[in-house]
Amino acid sequence: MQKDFHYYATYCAAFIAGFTHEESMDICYSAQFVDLCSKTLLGKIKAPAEAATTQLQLELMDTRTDTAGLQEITRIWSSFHFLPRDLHAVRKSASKKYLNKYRLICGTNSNLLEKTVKLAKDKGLQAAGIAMHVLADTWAHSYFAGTPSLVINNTDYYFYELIPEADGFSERPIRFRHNPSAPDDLENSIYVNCLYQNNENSIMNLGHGRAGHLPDYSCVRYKYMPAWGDYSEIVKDNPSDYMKAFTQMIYALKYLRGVNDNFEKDIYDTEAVKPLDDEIKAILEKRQLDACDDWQKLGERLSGKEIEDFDIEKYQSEYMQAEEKNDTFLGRFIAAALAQKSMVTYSIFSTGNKLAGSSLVKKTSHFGMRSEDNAVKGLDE
Amino acid sequence: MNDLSGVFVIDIHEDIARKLRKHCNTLYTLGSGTMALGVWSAVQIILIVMNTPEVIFPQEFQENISNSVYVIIMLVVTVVMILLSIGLYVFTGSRARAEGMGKKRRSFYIVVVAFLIIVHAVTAVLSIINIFTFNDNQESLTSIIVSIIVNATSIYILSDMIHSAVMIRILRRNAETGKE
Repeated sequence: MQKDFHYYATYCAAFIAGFTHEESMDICYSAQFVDLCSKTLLGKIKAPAEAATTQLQLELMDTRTDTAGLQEITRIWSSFHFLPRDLHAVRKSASKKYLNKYRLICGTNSNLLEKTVKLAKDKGLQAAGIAMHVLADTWAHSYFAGTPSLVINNTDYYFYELIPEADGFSERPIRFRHNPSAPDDLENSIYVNCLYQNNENSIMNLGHGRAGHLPDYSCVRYKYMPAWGDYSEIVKDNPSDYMKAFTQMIYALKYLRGVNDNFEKDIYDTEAVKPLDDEIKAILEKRQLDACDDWQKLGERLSGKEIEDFDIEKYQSEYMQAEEKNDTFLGRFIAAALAQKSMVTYSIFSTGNKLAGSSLVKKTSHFGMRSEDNAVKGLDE
Repeated sequence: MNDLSGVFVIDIHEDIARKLRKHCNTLYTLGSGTMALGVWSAVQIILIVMNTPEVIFPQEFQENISNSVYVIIMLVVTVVMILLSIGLYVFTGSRARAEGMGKKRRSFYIVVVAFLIIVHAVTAVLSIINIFTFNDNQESLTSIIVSIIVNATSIYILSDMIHSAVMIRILRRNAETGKE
């Protein structure tokens, strides 16, 4: 997903869930910051590089695709943007190597999603924001894996956009081009995607690169054949999925606020959005590449307050100048990011899958208290 | 809001649909490969013309014409043969690709594919015979073996193309009549 959903829509969801304007701003800032917290930025503010929640294009170009490099990539992308749906998935006649990648395919309503949301409970607004980013991305990035893999993430010419018409949908073939400077053309279904690379572990085969930005546009519906699908057809209805993401975020945020006792999969707070149903659907269905303005207007109408533009440097000087960094906004974000990464990496590692590296568990202390936060080490195999 | 809810209802059984997509994908891929095979056939023609020109222009007729005329005739004949050959492969390959992509379905190209299979089979058999009658005056043993391998591969590709085209027709008919 993009800034329109991670920042502005998350603000709307937080406000509807009952958070104040200031709390909603902290949550949505954290949600958006997940897409920007790279090693480069952390290096600039002298923060631990292990807390990176994304990798910039330039960083990816420099990352080696040997075992250690692939593990680092998988740790970041699977933990924050492509949360695996089923780490115990079974597939007939699949080799261990293939199965490990297959099990990293992102999907909604997974056990890991429950853990993600529950991990953020009572951990502050920054943790809530990170959890909302992860939750939202499970809806947009379904069917792709957060590890470079041609056999999982590749797509081919069989890619059609479903255009709504009076009595159903018409299919329009999607044309992909490799010109990153040219904007996507919604009118003619011409989109930018990553170049085809027949190397299994090429960066071009990471996540939904082969489908371009299609998963991140709320107005688009499309069907395609994923490489892992054995010729089955996947239909992605982004307006519907984004609405589910929005209502699930509200439900999750109410749990984090203490309104609900529990967070369970596949539950959506549709009641809360009933008065705004038509308006939200109109935003999601509107054919535009960026819905920031619409979501911002909705959020400002809900709260009556101005939603300031996202400023990546807002909290950086606070962090750099503080003596107690853990008490700063970014300090709390970093702690939450590390916890999320640890949890996901350990979950993947505990199934015998080393694609995200090894994960060490702190032993039970002599106080009888067991640490939930596992230390994560990017050890080479 | 039109809501697909992640499920797109199709009017044929999902299993048939998947097989159909598989064969269409195969046809598309093989069609692309067939177009590239045209290059091999062009190479073969050039090799024949260079090594055994008497196959195209018998020795006795060369004596009655000047060298330059001979060269021009050979060039023209060679180019025409190459264009025809490449044209055949491009025609069949492009038709197969079009059918694989779900565009207009035509069946004449399947007949052409069958003809090409026969041509490749005959060439392969002749090459095998050449091995047994091999002498130093012929083209090298390596090129004969390469020719056999490429012809065998071509036969496999073209046969698979016919198989996929036939399967698509059977599956579509089954889908229309409701059979599995």
